[in-house]
Amino acid sequence: MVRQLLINALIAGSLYALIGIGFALIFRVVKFFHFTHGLSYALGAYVAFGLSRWSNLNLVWVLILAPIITAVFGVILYAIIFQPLRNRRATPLVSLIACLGAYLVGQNLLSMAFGDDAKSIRGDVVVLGMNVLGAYITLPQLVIVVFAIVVVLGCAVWLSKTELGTQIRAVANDPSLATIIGIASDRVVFLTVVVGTGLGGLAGGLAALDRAIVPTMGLNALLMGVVATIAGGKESLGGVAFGAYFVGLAQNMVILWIPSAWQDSIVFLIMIGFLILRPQGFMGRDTGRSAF
Amino acid sequence: MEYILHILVLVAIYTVLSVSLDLLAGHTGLLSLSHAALFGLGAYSSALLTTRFGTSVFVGFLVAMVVAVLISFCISLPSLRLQDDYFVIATFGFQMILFSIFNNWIAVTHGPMGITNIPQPSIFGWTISSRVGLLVVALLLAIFAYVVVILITSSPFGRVLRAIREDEIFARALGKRTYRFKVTVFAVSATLSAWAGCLYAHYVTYIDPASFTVMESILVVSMVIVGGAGSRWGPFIGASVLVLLPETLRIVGLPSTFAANFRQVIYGTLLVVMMMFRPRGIVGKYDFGQ
Amino acid sequence: MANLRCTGLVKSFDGVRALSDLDLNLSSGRITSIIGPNGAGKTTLINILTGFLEPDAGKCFLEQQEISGLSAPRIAQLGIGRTFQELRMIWRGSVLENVILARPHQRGETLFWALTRLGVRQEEDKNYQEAIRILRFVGLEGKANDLADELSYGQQKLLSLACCLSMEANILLLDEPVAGIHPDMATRILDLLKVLRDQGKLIVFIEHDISAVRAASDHVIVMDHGQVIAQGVPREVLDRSEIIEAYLG
Repeated sequence: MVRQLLINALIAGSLYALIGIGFALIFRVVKFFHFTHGLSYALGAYVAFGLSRWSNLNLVWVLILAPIITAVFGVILYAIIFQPLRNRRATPLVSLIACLGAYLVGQNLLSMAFGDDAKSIRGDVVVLGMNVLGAYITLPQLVIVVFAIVVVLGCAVWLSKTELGTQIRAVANDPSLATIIGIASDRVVFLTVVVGTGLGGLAGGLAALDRAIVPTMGLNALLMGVVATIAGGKESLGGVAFGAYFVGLAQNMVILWIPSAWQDSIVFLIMIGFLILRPQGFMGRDTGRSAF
Repeated sequence: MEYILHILVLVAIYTVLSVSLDLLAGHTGLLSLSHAALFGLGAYSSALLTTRFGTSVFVGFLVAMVVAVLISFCISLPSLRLQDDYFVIATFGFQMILFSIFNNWIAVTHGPMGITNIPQPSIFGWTISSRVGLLVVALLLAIFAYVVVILITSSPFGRVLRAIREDEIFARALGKRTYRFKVTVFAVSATLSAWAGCLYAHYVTYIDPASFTVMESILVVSMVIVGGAGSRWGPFIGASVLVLLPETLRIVGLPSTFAANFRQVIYGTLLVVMMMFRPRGIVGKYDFGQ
Repeated sequence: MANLRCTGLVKSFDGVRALSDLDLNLSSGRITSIIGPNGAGKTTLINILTGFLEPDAGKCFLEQQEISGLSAPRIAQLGIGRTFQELRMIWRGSVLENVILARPHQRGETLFWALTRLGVRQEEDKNYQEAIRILRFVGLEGKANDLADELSYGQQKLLSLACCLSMEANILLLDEPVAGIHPDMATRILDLLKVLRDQGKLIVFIEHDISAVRAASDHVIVMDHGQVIAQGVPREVLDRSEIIEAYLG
């Protein structure tokens, strides 16, 4: 029993890590809570669903195309939401509200297009799963775990070793300084949004293999991403991954003590706990907006 | 005619919600996504007391206030130091937790099945069951809420709230104990929203968790924003616009599930458009720090 | 006679020492200025004295009372007023609103009285009169109904001072009260400080402008790297070569 819970925690944590990395990447650079990330996730899932249902492509191609198509959506999102907000130097609160509105629109468009009933792609994929160390894990779930590890490591390498990655870290750390030393911030933000959105789409596509697809799936995913980002700390994406696995662990292990209906509430309590315990400094934010 | 009265009752109820949120968000700068949960707390408290224990609606309102104030402490006290957007996220978390309680604490709330046969309001044994009578009650509550909020915002207390909104650090440097103000105003806002919930429960006589989701919170936020945050008539204007607008869609003849989605598309689009072009809304004074 | 002092203050940020075992003893009836290069810890000191930051070690005292653990509003209520390097005020409010806001002991700031309104009107009228008196004292009476962000930079600094006075603070900790403003306005502010000193207030200001320091202070404290490296009468302290080096170095 405990072993199955641990495996489930690993799977959940991996999915949250994928969501969280994409969310955190964009968050660090734009510095507001972009609720639209939930849309990236949902869109990735629905694209995967649509491709597998209405085309003959095999799943490998579906998993390649879902993030790419979602990334295109990211471009559109940047053009109609992010760029205008940046141009107006919108405060984080205003940007949050705008993204909330955009999320509302997106979720309902998905609802109108696909209906509220749960869809799934499970038809042609093995469901029961392999026995690993006494617990069960299905092939899609294993794929999720593998992808998570690959993506986390890949991002870590990408951010530290490539030029774009370094520029992203510079913009995340100190936007004005980055501009002064000649980094084209707008371009960096644009690329980060596109990549982050693509990662969200990848997470959604992978999730589509394993769980039901509903228009509201983006909201929960988004919150997991937010919690992982808050729990994970300011510096590295590794922290986000840690936060994600911590959430997955907490969410699954509490089943030992409380009914599973309360799993998500535990996650929110964790989030609130981290919000309270964050280093406050002086009522200031650690992203450089503190009072002194 | 019944239909028009119904719409007016909804406008009144949402005006109370809007006014209470505007006190918190527009005047004090604390945007909350938890007001649907507070609305629900009032509804469930009163519904449970009147159906399970047979108390009067009046007692229902009283207990709803106590519950709302206590829960508001649970939200505001941990969140005192959180700035702006982080505060919103925290209230988002509390909304989800409270909704989960409405949905999963089956023993008390009957979960998704909801609570039925909620009695209509009665005064001295005389039950108010006509649509007009209920509208009068709703209007009285809306006027009461407005009076309370206007009294607060036009007082020195309100002056400190605005100072907190504009520059909390400055207010603290002047000796204002801002945390007390924030907890107090949250409690007032929660009480008004809870009372709106009580009225709602006794008006529709059946409640379930679906009426108190985060989407509902976003709707109330939209009303405050569209009408204009931090203003006198903004909440009423926002409530009217956002209740009446989708009703005109229904009159045009859209199928109902489609209409429900489309209405949220409109709310969402309004939020985006407002934030881009006029964060202070139609008649508002506060533009969320922009 | 007010007395503000601290002993052994230590404060670090991310491993960088902002204050290093700092001792301070300030008395009223004197204008003390604090100078030092950027990063010397001056603003940090003010933040700790006024309760906006907690020291890692050390204590602060107002008369006999320890204030080191108190919250910022509590310390302000004890009569310690401060201004900020990056001006803080209600920009969207009028000059008058800012000054009335600062008035202490307002019954109308309690929820009960705000709702019942008994006696609030009279209190508001009294506070209004007092606010006008203060604005007259600093010379901003004519601007009472202007919005704060319509004032010139120098007038905004005057307004900050007016708010401190409105608080009925006996101790004024001013962070760069005359930096970046027209010399005539600077003189006006410094003259006001001298009047306040003669009224018995304890005044401390941080400044970079040495002429302001020479013109208005009775006592100078020089800080660098979180410590007091010199203090004394302006004439002596300012002419010492180490001080000049600390500034240029």
